[in-house]
Amino acid sequence: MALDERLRRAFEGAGEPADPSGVYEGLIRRRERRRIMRRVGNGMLALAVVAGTTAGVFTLSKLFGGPGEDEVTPLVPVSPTGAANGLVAFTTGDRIIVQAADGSDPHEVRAPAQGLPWHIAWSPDGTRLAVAVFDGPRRSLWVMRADGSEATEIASGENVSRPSWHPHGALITYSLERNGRTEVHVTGSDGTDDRVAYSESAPGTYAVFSATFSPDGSRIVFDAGTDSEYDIFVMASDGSNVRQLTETGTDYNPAWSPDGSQIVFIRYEAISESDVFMMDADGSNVRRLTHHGSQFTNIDPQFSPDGAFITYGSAETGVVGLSIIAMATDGSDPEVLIEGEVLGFSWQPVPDASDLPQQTESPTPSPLDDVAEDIGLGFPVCNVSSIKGRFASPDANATLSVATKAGDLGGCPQPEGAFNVIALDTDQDGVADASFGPIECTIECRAFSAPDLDADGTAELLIVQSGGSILGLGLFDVDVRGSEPVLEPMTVASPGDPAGGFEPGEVVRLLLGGDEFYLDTLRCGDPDMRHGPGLIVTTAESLPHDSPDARWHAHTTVFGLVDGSLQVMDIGDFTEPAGVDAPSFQSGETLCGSNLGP
Amino acid sequence: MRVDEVALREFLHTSYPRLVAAVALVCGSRPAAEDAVQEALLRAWERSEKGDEIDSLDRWVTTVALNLARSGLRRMRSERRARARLDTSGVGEPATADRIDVERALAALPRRQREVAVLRYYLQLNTREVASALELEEGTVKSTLFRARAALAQTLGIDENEEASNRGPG
Repeated sequence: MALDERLRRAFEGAGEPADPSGVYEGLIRRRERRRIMRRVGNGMLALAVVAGTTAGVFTLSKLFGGPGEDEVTPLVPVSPTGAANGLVAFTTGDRIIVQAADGSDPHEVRAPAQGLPWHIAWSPDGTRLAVAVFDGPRRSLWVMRADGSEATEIASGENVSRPSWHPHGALITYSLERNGRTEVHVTGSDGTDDRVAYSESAPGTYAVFSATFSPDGSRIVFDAGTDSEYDIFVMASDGSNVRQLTETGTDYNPAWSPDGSQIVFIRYEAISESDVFMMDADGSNVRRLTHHGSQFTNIDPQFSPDGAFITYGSAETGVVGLSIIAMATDGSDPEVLIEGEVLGFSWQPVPDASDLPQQTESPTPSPLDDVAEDIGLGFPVCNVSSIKGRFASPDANATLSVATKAGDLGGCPQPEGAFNVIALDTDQDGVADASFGPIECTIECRAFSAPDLDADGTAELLIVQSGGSILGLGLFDVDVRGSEPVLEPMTVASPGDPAGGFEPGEVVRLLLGGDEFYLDTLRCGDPDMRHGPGLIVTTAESLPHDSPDARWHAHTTVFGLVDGSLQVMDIGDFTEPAGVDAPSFQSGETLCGSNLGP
Repeated sequence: MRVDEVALREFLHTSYPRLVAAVALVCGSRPAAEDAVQEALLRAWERSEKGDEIDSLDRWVTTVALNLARSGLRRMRSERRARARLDTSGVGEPATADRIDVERALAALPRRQREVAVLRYYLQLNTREVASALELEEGTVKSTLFRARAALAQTLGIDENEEASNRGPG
């Protein structure tokens, strides 16, 4: 047999063809997420956070609004008032997914019961989920921790609707059908004290789609009617004082704005048309927010916890599967938040701690709660690692911390897959003054080193975002040009260094470490360099492997730090013996004046 | 050609499975190969939507995926180690002895020889197609392939002279 044929057969046996199933759908999701990322800039969801007192305020207020498609909008801190946006949870197929709003860091949460998890709602404190599960004709309503643990069935019946939490977290309202009669229920979130707050006067009337507590918990807005006509009603949360708000016979799915002044809902204006509308809470001042006509079917509009966005489910007519769309509250700037496979959706509130009412039930103890800390983000954190340096001012120290949010996934989770955040305390009072997150972590996440790469007197921060034999390091800076300090990830300026793995515009991920075959190092550059000391990044491979004659084949990228971006100053390739001597390009003990260590 | 849903689905059905396998042989990481090929496909799609002409989706994606795999080597190494440390259960089919031999033989080759060998012997492109995909002169491909071939034969224990003598007259 010819050598070429033997090689061909050997390669044929070594190659393992990939399964293309689901790849096309993945491409669509990736494209949509990239479109959203471009609006945010820097390839990361930049949740700007101010934590002035005990309240962390996450805002996506600049995410979808304003400028054109390619214009990068820097996210700015906002006043720490009101509720705030955290993670999103949605149901798809038989799965429950919790992830950041940009689609990153998805986690599958185990469903509480067999069947299709459908409607879903975060508790006001962002630690629990209420989930309606459809299993044939039987539908059940469950409450569980956000990691899927401690699931308790609190109700069951026909046509169980989307649950809605009372702002105190101790009560839930929902609707169901009993003997052909639609009822709105209010129950304890543990399933106790379930009572009927409203019942249709006669059997055979239209099922109630939605029953939702007002933000102050005093009222419930719901839809009710007959098969041919349905409208929106409001009542006191004890079921008294029922009042009709709309009279078109085509309105349903009402939901409150966070301040209780507005109600967003769906109206059918013609056959097969379902658009999003909004009105004042007394039923006046009705205005249309979407103009989809019969092209799309829209359902389930909701405000984001901070009131900056309205999300709703939308499916192109004839297409199975809902996408979740987020738009400004005037209906402008719609963007796909989650692509085409969603059954139920809810946006996690991150409460202002000072606004939290007294819980009427005992919090579920976590075995790790005793190690959680309060660093002023409005939620407890774990796995805190800090580094002190002159980050915001050449004249004063500040403390930067990397931490994992506790609670929303139960106890103190490992950084891998959890919500990790960077916090900056500029006045050293133990309370964060700015933060950035979520940041992705693999295995570990910690503050690492703080070199002054551009020799301007303030330090940049290297943060370990993935561990193992090679550390993956994110590079961040504190921007103090505005009135408030803002943490920003460094990006690679054009043209980058594709051969070194640095694409223009990407958030830089530096590598450090290796083994006998691969080595990644960081050093400081020429102090006489025009743009400052610079950062020399080298990646090398020892070839041939396991050979006494092996040589390091190294690629080096020299960066200068200019206006918050890493600009490539020089690129080079070289080889040198990979013997017992340390390579010439090894990392030094210090990096631009900072100890290269934690 | 226009890269649309039809073209993408056809590519996924016909070319994607083996191209991912080929890039995995080159870069040593299956997840990184899938990521590189999917990213290349997405870029082709976006370029086409902007009006750029793509003559051959197969060739374009092969070239870009290999470039991405090459430039992303640093990231892949990190991810591979992290994944290996995290994943104690094992993923996919167990590797056969022959497969391990080929992977080791490829790992010992310089990257360009690795790419040329995989495109030639796994994707079964001719030297002109290999040159086009890797943006090299055809002569460079031939000389690189000659060296890769000899190195692979030695590493895999294939005796070129033996087969020459076995071939015999006629």
